[in-house]
Amino acid sequence: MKTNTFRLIAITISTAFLVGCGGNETQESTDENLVNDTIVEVETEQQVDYALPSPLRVANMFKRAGLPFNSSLMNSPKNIEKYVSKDVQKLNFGVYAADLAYSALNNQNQDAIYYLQSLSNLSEKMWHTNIFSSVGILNRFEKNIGNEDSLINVLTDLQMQLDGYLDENGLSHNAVLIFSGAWIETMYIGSQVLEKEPNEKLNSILAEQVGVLDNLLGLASQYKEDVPEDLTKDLEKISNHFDKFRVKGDDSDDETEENMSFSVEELNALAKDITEIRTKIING
Amino acid sequence: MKKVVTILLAVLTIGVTGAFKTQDDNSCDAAKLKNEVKPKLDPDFKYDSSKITRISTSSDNQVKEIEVPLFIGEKYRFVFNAKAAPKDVEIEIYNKPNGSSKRKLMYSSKKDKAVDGIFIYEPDKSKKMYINYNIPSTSSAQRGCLVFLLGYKI
Repeated sequence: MKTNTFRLIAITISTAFLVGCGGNETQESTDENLVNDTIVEVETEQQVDYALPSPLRVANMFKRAGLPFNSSLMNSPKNIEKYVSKDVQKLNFGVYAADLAYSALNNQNQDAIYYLQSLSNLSEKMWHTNIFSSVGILNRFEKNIGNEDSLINVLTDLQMQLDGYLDENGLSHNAVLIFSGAWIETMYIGSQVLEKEPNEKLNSILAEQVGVLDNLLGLASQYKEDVPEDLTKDLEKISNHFDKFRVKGDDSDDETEENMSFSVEELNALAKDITEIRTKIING
Repeated sequence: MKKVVTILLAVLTIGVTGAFKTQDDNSCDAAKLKNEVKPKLDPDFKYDSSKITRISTSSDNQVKEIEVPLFIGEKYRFVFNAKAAPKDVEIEIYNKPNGSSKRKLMYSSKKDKAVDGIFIYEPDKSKKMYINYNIPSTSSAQRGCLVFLLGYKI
C-alpha cells in the first residue's frame, strides 16, 4: 500500500513538474526554430481584427446630420418581456442601447431612463449581473439631466463598462449581436426619416455606414460559431445595397469617395430591407 | 493515507494552475490599462471604442491588423497603451489595408516619443484606418497586451 502511495505521489509530482515546465519545452523548441530561421527565413503571421464604433457615436453622427426626434420610431421598453432566448436578448440590448442614445441626445430624458432600466434588466437576464450597477449609471444619469455634456459622459462610461465586461469575460463575440441590434435600429430610424424628408447630409452618413457594415461582417465571420446564420444572411442582404460604394475597391483615391449617397429608389429598397430585419429583431 | 494523497494532489493542482493564472493576470490588466489612458482623450475627445489585443510572441514575426472605420470629416484621436506589451512591438497606422498598392504609412511609433509606453495619434483626414502591431519574433515566448482607445471630437 505504502509503495503504491509513494508511486502515485511520485507520478503526481513528475506530472505537475512536466506541466509546469511546459513553457521551457516550448522555449527549447522555439530556440531550435530560431537557429533554423537564421538560415531559412522568419515567417510572418498576419491576423485581422475589426473595430466598431459605439451606438452613441453612430447616433451622434445621425443627429448632427439633422435626424429629428420621433419617439414612435423607437422600440418600446415593454417589449422586453418577449425576449427569451439569449441571442434575441443580445440583439435587443443593442436596439435599446441605440434608442437610449437617440433619446438622450435629443433630451428625451424620461425615455432615456426607461431604456437604461431596460438595459439593466437585459444585463441581469443575459449575464446574471447588472454590469452597470458598479458605476451607478442610473443615479448619475438622473443627477445630470439638463447637462448634455455630462449625460454624454455617463453614456460613454456605460459603453466603456460594457466593452470591459465583454472583454474580461471572454464574451467579445456578444458585441457582434449587440452592435448589430444597435446599428439596425439607428439605420431604421435614419432611413425612415430620410424616406419622408430628403436630407443630403443624412443620406451621406447613411451611405458612409458601408465601412461600419464591412467591419461588422468581418467580425461576424470571425465569430461565426457564435453568430446566428440568419443574422449574418440578413446583414449580407443589407450589405448588397452598399455595393456601389465599394466599386472602386481599396485602391481608390480618397477624394473620389467623399460624395456618397443613395438615390430615392435605392433608399426605399434599403429602408424596406432594414425594416424587415428590424421587425424580426424587435418581435423576438 | 488516502487523505494525504488527496490533499497533496489538490495542493499541487491548485499550485500549478495558480502559477499559470498569475502569469497571465500579471501580463495584462486590461481595465487598468484602459483607465490609465482614458484621460488622454480629455477634454476635447469622447471615448468611442477600444480594442484589447493580446500578444504572445513566437519564433515567427507577427502582424496584427485592426481595421478602424472613421466617418469622413470627423476629428479622431487614437490612444495606445503599450506598457504591458512585449518589448519592441511597433505600432503603425496605414490608410489602406495590407496588399493595397496605394497603402501609405501615416504613423509609426518608432518615430514618436512615447511617455510611459503611451502613444497618441490624430489623423489629418478621417477615413478607414488600418492599425498594424508588428510583433517581432523572440527566442522565448513573451506574453502581454496592447490597448487601443478611439476618441472622437464632438
